Amino acid sequence: MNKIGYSLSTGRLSWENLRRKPFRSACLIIVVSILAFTLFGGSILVSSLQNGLTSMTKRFGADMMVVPAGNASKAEAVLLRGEPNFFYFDESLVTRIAQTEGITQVSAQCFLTSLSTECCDDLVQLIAFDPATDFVIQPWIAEVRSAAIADGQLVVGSRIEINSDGSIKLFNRNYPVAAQLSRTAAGFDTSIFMTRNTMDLLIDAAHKEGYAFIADREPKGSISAILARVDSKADAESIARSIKRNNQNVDVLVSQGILAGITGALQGLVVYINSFSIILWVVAVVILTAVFSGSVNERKKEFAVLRILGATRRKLALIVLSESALAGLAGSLAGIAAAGLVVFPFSTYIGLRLGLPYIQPGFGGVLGLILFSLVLSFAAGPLAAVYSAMRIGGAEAYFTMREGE
Amino acid sequence: MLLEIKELTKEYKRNGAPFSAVKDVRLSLDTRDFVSVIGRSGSGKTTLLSMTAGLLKPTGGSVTLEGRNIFDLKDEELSFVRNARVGYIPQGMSLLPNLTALDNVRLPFYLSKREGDAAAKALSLLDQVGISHLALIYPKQLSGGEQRRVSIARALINDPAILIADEPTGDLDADTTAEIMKLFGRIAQNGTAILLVTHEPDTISYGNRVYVMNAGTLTGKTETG
Ligand SMILES: Nc1ncnc2c1ncn2[C@@H]1O[C@H](COP(=O)(O)OP(=O)(O)O)[C@@H](O)[C@H]1O
Ligand SMILES: [Mg+2]
Repeated sequence: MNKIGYSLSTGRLSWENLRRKPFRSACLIIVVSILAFTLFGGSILVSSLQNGLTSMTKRFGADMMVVPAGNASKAEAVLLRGEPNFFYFDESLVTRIAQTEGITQVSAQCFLTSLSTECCDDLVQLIAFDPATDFVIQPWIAEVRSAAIADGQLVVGSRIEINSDGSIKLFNRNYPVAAQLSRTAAGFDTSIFMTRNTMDLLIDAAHKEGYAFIADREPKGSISAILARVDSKADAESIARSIKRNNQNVDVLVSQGILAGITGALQGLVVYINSFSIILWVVAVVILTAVFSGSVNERKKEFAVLRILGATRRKLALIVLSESALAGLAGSLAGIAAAGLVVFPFSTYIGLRLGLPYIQPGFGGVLGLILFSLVLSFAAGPLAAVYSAMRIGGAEAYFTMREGE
Repeated sequence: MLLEIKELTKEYKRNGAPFSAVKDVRLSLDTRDFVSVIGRSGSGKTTLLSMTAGLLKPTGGSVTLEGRNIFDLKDEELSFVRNARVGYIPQGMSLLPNLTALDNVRLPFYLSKREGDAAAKALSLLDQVGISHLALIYPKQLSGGEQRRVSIARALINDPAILIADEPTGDLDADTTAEIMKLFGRIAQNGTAILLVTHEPDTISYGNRVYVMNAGTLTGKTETG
C-alpha cells in the first residue's frame, strides 16, 4: 500500500505530468538552466570585476609614477598584471621631481626580478620601497601587520606561496616573511615587497652566491620608479607633461589615466554581459511561453477531463503554474550549480583571460547573487505559463468533448 | 425530482446560419431512474449531456439538479456539484495518461476537500468493475474495455446522485458491451440515477425509460422494465 499512500495534490499531479513527459520536461528544465547559468555566471563576473576595480583603485596610492624613458608600458604591466621587469635611473632624480610645482609627496622604489626556479612557479617582481618616504606600500602593510617591517624581512602578495617554515628563498638564501597582503587583483598579488635596505642586502648576498645582474647598470644605488602625489587642486596630467618637458630621460604614468582605461574596458564588458542577460531572459520567457501553450493545446482533452471531474478553473491554472514552477526550480538549481562548477574553480583563469582586475565576492555576496539569479530564472517559468493558465481557465468551448478530438 | 431539464436549447452557427444542436429538450430523472437516450451521431446527445453537467452554457432553458438551477451557480459551486453529485463518463477515451488506473479513479476524490481513504475506495471500485489487478497500470497499456471500466469506477468514487454516460460502449465488442451494461444495471439498483446516451439500439433494453434524439429534439418516451 506504500506505493499508493500519497494524495493527489496539485503538486503531485504536476509532478506526475512532468515525470511522465520526460522530453518536454527536459526541454523546460534545460531552457531555464541555461538562463540560470548565464544569469549567475554573468552576475558573478560583473561583481568580481567591480570588486577588482574597487580594490585596485584603493591600492593605487600614488597619483603618478615616473619611470626611465621607454619603460611606461613595462611599468604598467608590473602594476596591472605583475609581469616582472626592471629598469633603472639615477637616484638624484627624486629631488628634481619633488621640486616640481604641484607635487606634494615623492618616494622612490627599486625593482628586481627573482630567478624563475627558486621560490615560485614564475618570475616574481621584487619591489623595494623607502620606509622613510613611502606612502603607498606601508599603509597597506599596516592593514595586516601592526609592527613596521624590519630590514631583512619580506612582505608578499596574496598569491605568493610561502615555505612551511615561513620563509622564501631568493638568490639561494632564505628570507623570513613578515606578512602576506590581501588580494588586489593587480600585479601586486604576485609581487614581493621589502625595504630598500633589504634589497641592498639581498643584492650583496646574491653577489656572494655568484649571481650577476644583467642590467645596463647595477640596481644598487639606482632606482626604478618615483611615486608622486599631487596637490588636490593641481591637474595630474599637466604636471606629468611638465615633468616630461623638463626631464628628457623619463616617462610618466598617471594613475587616473591607467584606471580610466580599465574602467572603460570593464564598463564595456559589464554592459555587454547585462544586455546579454536581459535578452536571454526575454528569449527564455518567449520560448517557455511557446512550450507551455503548445503543451496546453496538446492537453486540451486532459484539462477538459479534469473540468468534467469537477476541477475549478483555478485548479487547472494552478496545475499548469505549479508544473512550470517545478520545472523552473529544477532548471534554476541545475543552472546555478553548473555555473558554480565553472566560475569557482576557474576564477583565476577567468581573471587572467579577461586581463582585468577580478576578485570574487565573499560568501555573503555569492549568496546574494545565487538568490538574485534563482529568483529571476525561476520566475521565467510561471511567468511564461500565466498566459496558458489564463487561457485554460477562461475558455469553455472545448470542454464539450467530441468524438475524434 | 433529482434532475429537471426544461426547454434546453443550444444554438450553433453553421455556414453563418444558426442551427440548434439541442432544441427545447424536456427531461426529468428521479433517484432510481435509468434513462437511455438513443440517437444517431450528430443528433445532439453530447451537447445535451454537456449542458446537463453544466460544462456548456445553453442558449436557453434550465437544468435543475437537486433543486438548484446549475447555471445560477458560480464556477466554484458548480465545480463542486459536478465533483460531488454528478458522475460523468465522457465519450471516448478520457483517462489522464500520466496517472495509473488507481490514480485516475481516485482523482475526483481530491478535487474537493474530503476525509477518508481514497485509495481503499478506489481499489474496491476497481474490484467492482472487475479490474483491481490493473490498479497500477497506466492507461496506454489498458484495452478499450478496461479503460471504460476505469472511467466508470472514477465516476463513482464520490458516490454521485446521478451517473451521466456518453456512449459508454461506443467502441466496444458485443460481449464487453453486455458486461458493461449489466454493470450499469447494478449501479442503478444500488440507488444511483443513470442518464445514458447511445447510438446502439441493443443497449437500450437495460434502462427503464428510453428516449430518441433526432436533430436536437428529444421524443418518444418508452417505458420498459
Ligand atoms: N462547438 C460546436 N460548434 C459548432 N457546432 C457544434 C459544436 N459542437 C457540436 N456541434 C454540432 O452540433 C451537432 C450535435 O453534436 P453532438 O452533440 O456532438 O452530437 P452527438 O453527440 O449526438 O454525436 C453536430 O452537428 C455538431 O457538428
Ligand atoms: Mg457524441
